[in-house]
Amino acid sequence: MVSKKHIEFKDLMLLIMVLLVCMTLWGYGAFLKYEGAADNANSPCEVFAYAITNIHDGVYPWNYEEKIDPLFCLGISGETSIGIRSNTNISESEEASLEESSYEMTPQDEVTYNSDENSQKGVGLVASLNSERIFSDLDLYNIKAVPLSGLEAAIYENQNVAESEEGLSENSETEDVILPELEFETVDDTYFDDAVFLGDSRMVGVYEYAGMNNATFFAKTAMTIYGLLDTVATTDPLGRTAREGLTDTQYGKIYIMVGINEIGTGDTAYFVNKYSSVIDEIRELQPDAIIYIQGIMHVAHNRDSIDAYVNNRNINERNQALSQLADGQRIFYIDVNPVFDDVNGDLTQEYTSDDIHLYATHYATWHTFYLEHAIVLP
Amino acid sequence: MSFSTLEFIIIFLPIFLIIYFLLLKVQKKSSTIANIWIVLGSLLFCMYADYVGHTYYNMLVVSIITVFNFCVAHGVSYFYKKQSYSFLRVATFAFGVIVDIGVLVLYKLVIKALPIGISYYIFALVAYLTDVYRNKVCAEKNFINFSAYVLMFPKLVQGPITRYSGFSEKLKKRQVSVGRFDRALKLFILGLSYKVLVADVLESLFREIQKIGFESISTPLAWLGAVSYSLQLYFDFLGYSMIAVALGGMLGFHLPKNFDNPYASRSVSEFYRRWHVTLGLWFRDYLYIPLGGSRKGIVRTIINLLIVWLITGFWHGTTLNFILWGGILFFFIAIEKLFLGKLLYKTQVVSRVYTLFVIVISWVVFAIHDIKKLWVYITRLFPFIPTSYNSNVLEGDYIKYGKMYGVVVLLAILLCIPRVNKWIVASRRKWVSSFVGIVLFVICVYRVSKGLSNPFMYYDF
Repeated sequence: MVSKKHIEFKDLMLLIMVLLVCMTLWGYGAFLKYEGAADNANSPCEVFAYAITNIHDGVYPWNYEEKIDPLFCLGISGETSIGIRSNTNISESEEASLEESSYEMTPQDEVTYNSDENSQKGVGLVASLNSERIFSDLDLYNIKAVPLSGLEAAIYENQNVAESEEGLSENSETEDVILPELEFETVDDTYFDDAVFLGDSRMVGVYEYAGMNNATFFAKTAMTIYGLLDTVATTDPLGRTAREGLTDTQYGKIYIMVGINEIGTGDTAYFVNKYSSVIDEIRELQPDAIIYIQGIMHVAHNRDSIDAYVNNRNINERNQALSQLADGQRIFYIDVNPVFDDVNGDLTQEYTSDDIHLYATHYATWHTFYLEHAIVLP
Repeated sequence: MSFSTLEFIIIFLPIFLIIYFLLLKVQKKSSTIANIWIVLGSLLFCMYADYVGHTYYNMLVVSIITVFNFCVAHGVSYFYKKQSYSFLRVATFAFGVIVDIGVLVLYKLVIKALPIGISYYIFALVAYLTDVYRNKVCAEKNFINFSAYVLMFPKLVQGPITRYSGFSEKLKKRQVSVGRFDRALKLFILGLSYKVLVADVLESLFREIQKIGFESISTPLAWLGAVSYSLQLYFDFLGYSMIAVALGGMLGFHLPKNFDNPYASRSVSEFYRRWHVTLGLWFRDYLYIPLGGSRKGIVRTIINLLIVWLITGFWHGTTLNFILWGGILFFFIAIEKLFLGKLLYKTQVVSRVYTLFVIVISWVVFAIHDIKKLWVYITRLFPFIPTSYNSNVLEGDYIKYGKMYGVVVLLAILLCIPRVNKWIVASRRKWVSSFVGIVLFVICVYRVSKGLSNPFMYYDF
């Protein structure tokens, strides 16, 4: 038996250490103000948790305010931030033009990049850096507010999107004359001999259970668009990243599905912007491949109804924006959701136990979907 | 706010304890003020005990039941003193017990939205009423002390199911010391580690198997899943019970142990003497023995066992699989009582293998609520059973999951060995245990916070 004095000293040390750890955690948590999470997710502790997690790639304490402005999450529309509070660099007249254009939220499906009106407007306006064009872009991506401190950054980012998109839509217009509209055809399994699949756990599921053994997979659970090219894939026997794999071999078809893990990161514009630049990178590595952008698969009702992030409204919003990245020539958008959805547009509850992933037996259906939605270049 | 959430560990518990210790210091002669604080803290704990949204509801139900039982116990004890009213004594007691059990059955069968911990505190209260009726304890006269006993947050949510006799003195006057607090803190951290680092990790293996769908798992993976589920259940509950005992210790109470190395048992009956001990003792003392136990001939014994085990199954859940689970355990315990038990204790190895086999299968029945899915899982465990569904098995899936979870499964198996546990308990006195404790605590908090950051479990899709 140890003497009593000794025990007390040791105990106090332990107590003090534990208290210190607690206070550090609490202090760090309280340091960040995060207001937009689910109802039960706004205590200081959870903010700490949010800050140290690795799945929200691209969001760190130092750029936290920029990336996740509370206003986004609270759903406050443009007026508070754009119109009133941003008084530094935007002149009076620009503010006036903002008020006219950006306050009415344009319904998403009415605006597309390929519509004549929009692209015509875009060409002229982007050149003159008119804010109206920029903010109609913001509207397109359903942006509700711009982070105050990062307003200029946002303008810059979205301008980039706008320009690259302009390029795409212009291309399609010019090539339209030469090439006929390509349509989905039904093919056989040899189609996947030179196909490569990039993505998250849904793609891992396809890899494991769809029986497409001739295809190549660079997929990993918890994959995001931010790590798509440079994360070591668990499905690759050689343990390569997608970038290494795409550098080593030229493929004919590239299928991408990511988006569910980063659904709480940034907003749709931020996500699609990154997505677009990843596609550009892939295009550089694989100049001739067909790229399939896959719409993010829905979640089942049980998840949809309780989750502030992982819900089908968010997924549809991002899918809508993703579908705009397709050019109908080399980049295509395919969406497996109609196959697995129930009447309400949620993933059918009987197909899943965790509301996110299909049972293994249903991947065969997905395989058939791929076979029936293939593009064959003339 | 369960024990393994950050709100509890970082905010609720430290604040509660600091004020609690101050109150104990202030009032030295009795602990009434500290008991009031226990009641208030426990009600708050109860309010935030789950996220489903019925916050006041939890609190209201437990308060009403506490007041009701306080009055009934007083009635029983009053009529006991007046000898001529013995009929009223029986009637009051019966009324109290019937209402208590009725409320529990009503919630389980009809309302379904169970207030937090109701299965546990109702059982503790029935035990209390029975003890008062049998005159084993005096009815508590101080309502504050009584509510502190019932509501006490360490045992409110998942037991252990206590007896009042162990508490009556401590409720009036108790002491805490730094040395005792240190021991309790270490037990707390150990329990938290079992819960967070072992049980929660293993839980995700079983979730992965559910994700694949039982039709499409290989037989080795099915067995890995069954074993890992058995371990997960054990460490989840063991960790929880250790935390409960530790918290009780911090407050100056002595809560009973719930587990005694059950997986080292040599028969199913022995397993259930060592698994969830307080529940087993409750059923023994307040149901099995009053029914006549094993003293009224072999037929009555078997019938009594059947009643006890079907009710045990019902207590755990109302779906068919729980009744089936109780039935299976009844079957094995009955044949052990009849002849198998004597044979089992002649061997060292066969008896343990037999016990583990039966228990693991019974946990599978316990785990899967849907009878059709349960049957599919059974056919995966025993592939020679003819089946009619389409199977889509990934070759070598057990290797994949074995690599991911094998280490934790092996660690968990190691921790089931009585000698390892003995060693851990013994090394609690060494100075190095403080250091290990801090490291484990930080890892646990990190894991918990990582899980919290995602509204979904780990956001790893």
